[in-house]
Amino acid sequence: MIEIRLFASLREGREKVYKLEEAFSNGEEILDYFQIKSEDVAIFLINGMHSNLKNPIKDEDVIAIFPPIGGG
Amino acid sequence: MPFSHRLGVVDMRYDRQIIIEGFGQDGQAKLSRAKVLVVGVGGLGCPALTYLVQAGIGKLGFIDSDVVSESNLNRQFLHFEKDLGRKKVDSAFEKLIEINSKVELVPLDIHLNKDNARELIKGYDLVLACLDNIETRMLLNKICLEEDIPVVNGGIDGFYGFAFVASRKGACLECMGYQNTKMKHPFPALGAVAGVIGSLQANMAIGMLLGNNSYQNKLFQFDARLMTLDEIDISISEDCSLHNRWKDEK
Repeated sequence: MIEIRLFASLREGREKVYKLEEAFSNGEEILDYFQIKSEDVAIFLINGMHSNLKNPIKDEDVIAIFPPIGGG
Repeated sequence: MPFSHRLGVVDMRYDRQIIIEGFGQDGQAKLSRAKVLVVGVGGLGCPALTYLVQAGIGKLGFIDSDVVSESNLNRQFLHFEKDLGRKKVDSAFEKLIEINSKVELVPLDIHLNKDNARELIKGYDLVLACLDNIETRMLLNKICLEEDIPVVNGGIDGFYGFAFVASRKGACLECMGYQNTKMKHPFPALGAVAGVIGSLQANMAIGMLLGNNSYQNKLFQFDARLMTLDEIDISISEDCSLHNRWKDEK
């Protein structure tokens, strides 16, 4: 099982947290699953570490996905 | 008798914070000796500066080269209608000095860039990034880490915002891949959200000046729709070009 935590506008129309049994080989497959465009993602973390969308996902990983937030 | 009077301090201004458990006269003395630089006097800079001035920071520099425009007035509460077209640092200075004349205020009408950033941040204990663009945030992240000065970052987008302390001892913006962020132009902004995030930045700054290091390696995400503040653990990245320079330091 992996845990996927969505933040800010990525929660609109979706839940905050998903615990999924599905196997995802990488971040791109997770974005496809949630129908999130890669250009809408600013930060993609696997277990608190910055990660490329092509990096492998393994069981029990915690994924955190953030859209761009940079205004002031 | 007010607590400050019992301690022989005539000014009652800080009495209510001095009586906070764990704050005390020592805490107030730490704040009065502190030098803090706020970069950006907009939606985040206005609340951050206001609360730092009220708290009695010793020296408070603030940088902005913009003038006040009408689209600023929904959130930048130190700037009034009468200030339209004025330099933001002049407009802010005028109000801040009336809030607390005992703080040394240093308004800097200058655009922070790669040629002047190092000189501008030198001598400060802490920097607050209250910016509206990624390039300057990343520049400040790099220069502040090189000078070993922690940066309290804040950012907003519509109903959402974040606060994050970047430092040499903890993770930085590059560690979480923030450099890949592509901003919307213009970015959506609500005053009440900017107020929350700017206040979080001021709280973190005060906490750090009092010796609290618990904000390191944590990204705080505020969601005004769900009214939640999430805390996300962030690790120093093995790929961070900045942290790799100091990885052998103890």
